[in-house]
Amino acid sequence: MSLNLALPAAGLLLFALSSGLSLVGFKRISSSKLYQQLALYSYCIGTLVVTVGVLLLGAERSQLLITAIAWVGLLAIYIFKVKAIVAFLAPVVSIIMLFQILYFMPQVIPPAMSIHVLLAIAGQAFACCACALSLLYLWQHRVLKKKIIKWFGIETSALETLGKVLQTCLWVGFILLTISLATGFASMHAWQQSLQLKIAWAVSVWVWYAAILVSRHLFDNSLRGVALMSLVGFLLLSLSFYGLLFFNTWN
Amino acid sequence: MVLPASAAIFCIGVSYRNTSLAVREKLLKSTDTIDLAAIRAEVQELVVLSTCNRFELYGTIPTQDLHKLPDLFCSSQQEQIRDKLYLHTHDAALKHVLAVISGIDSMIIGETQIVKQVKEAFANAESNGTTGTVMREVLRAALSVSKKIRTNTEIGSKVVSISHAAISLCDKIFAHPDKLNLLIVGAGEMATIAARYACKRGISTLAIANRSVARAEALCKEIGFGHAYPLEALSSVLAQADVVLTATAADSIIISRAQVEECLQGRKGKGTLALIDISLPRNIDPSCQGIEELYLFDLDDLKKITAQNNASRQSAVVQAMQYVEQGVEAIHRSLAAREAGVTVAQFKGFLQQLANKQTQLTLAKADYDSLTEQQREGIVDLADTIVDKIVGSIGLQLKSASEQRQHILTLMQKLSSKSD
Repeated sequence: MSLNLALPAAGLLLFALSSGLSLVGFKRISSSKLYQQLALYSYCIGTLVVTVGVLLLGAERSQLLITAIAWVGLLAIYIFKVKAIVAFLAPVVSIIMLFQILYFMPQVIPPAMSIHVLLAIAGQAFACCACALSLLYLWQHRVLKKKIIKWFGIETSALETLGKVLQTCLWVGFILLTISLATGFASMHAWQQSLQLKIAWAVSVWVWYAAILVSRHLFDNSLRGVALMSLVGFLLLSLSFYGLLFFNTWN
Repeated sequence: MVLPASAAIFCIGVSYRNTSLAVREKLLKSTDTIDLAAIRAEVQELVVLSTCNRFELYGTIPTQDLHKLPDLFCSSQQEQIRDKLYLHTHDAALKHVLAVISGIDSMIIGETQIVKQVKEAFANAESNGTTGTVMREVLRAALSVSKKIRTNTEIGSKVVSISHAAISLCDKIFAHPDKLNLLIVGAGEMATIAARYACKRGISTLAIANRSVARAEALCKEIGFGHAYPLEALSSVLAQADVVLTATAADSIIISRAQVEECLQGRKGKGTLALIDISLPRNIDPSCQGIEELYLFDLDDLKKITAQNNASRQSAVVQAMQYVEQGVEAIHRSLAAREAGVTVAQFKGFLQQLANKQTQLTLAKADYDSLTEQQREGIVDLADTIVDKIVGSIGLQLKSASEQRQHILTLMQKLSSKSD
């Protein structure tokens, strides 16, 4: 098996294992701490594997995105102590990796666009992390609101912490997407692929994320509302990333 | 077993499991009703643990005197507890001590107060001069096992009292529970426990609203923190609070939905509000549950939480007992190492004595008169080095040969004793 396939496959296995362990942790609440820890180890090793993959095999767009998401997740885990994010981020990363392995369409980053693409990837990684945090926030909100006592035994961060980290991810992601969009416009002449559609998607995604932040800070939208909007935002973002990829292929 | 075959570790006493509070109270209040002096005279080491849930004696005693312990314990006025008495010896006693200090045997499984109480009991025994190598080793191992159990199992991780659970709920909602503004409505027993626990954990401000302000003031004074308010000022205090806990005997709603909605209007941007109602009947309108970004818990919810936590502690006991077993083995190993250390030191002394004697005899002979002082010292050093090498290699043998270990030690003890 070539390294090209072995490393992503190993990464996928580790992230899938992490997802599985997290799920078991939710099922076996009395040992959830142990499963959470094992899921975290598996996630960390998975991150290491995909990083080695990028370093050895070169910067391909999808792999870069997966690596960036994994690293942003690690930032959330170690800086903000949101360990439970693994339970939601690992499945998202696994799905993206599976998608990448099944429909592998290498997208080499043109040197002229490298800054634009790298910024976009970083922005997308933060948006993905925000999506996982939103899921975690909505889950915990539901647990507390509906008083699902059996889930109380699972150790998660405080709801307020989740809200703060979610907003931080949204802000950082939004800033990165904004700069990425600006640099994209600046170097538009170097771009040759379905430019109009791509710009339309990118701008609509940007507008959606701007709307999330505006709704929160100007109209005092609830954090639950922000979490729901950020899920839709990530869906739009995924469509812009993968949808256009397919659109380009079909055309 | 490392203790001489003629000695045994014991644990004798009564606990909440088999005696009433009244009996334990009697023992607790008048420890002199038990003739400790008579017990001390019979035992080699003695530690007295006296808490509200147990009265126990730990120590070592000559094996042939074990049967005397119940009689000594139940002297004179204590006859009524004879049939309630338990006596554990050898490994069973060690297991019991480790289980007690780890909170496994406590009324509230996993409680931590017992660690302090056992430490105090050992400190008292130390100051009375009734502890020795064995009991010190038992305490050291017991503390280590207790720490392992509390770190690695769920035994003490979740609260099991309603008031504690109510305050601990804040951890699920607020990022910095120590920066919270807590409002407690009521000044009764439950409110007092909750207020004390909250202050112990750390909070930013505490407001206590009560029908009788004097009582609320008295509670603030008792805790040394917080401000008292009359119940009429509830609406204004409510707007400042992040967590509201009601624990009153009132038979009607004290905090209505309209009041809460009004309060939320005034606290835009201040974050989440948590309402915890531990009163029966309820004091907070249950329809408040429908308000977004507000979390309401009542007594039923808290009872479910504490029941779940208690079950989780119970299941952790099985896991904790494995650490206890390991702890007992560790005590044996440690005592064995100490015993070996003492025997090896005695044997080394015997060999050194022998070597010195032989060296002096040899050097006293006329054939060696011509030796210089330096050469004589060299011969003495050589003899010492040979002794060190022999003892060193025996030490290594003792570490590796677990089966022959006891034979080697017995042989060394016999040889050492012959030197006398």
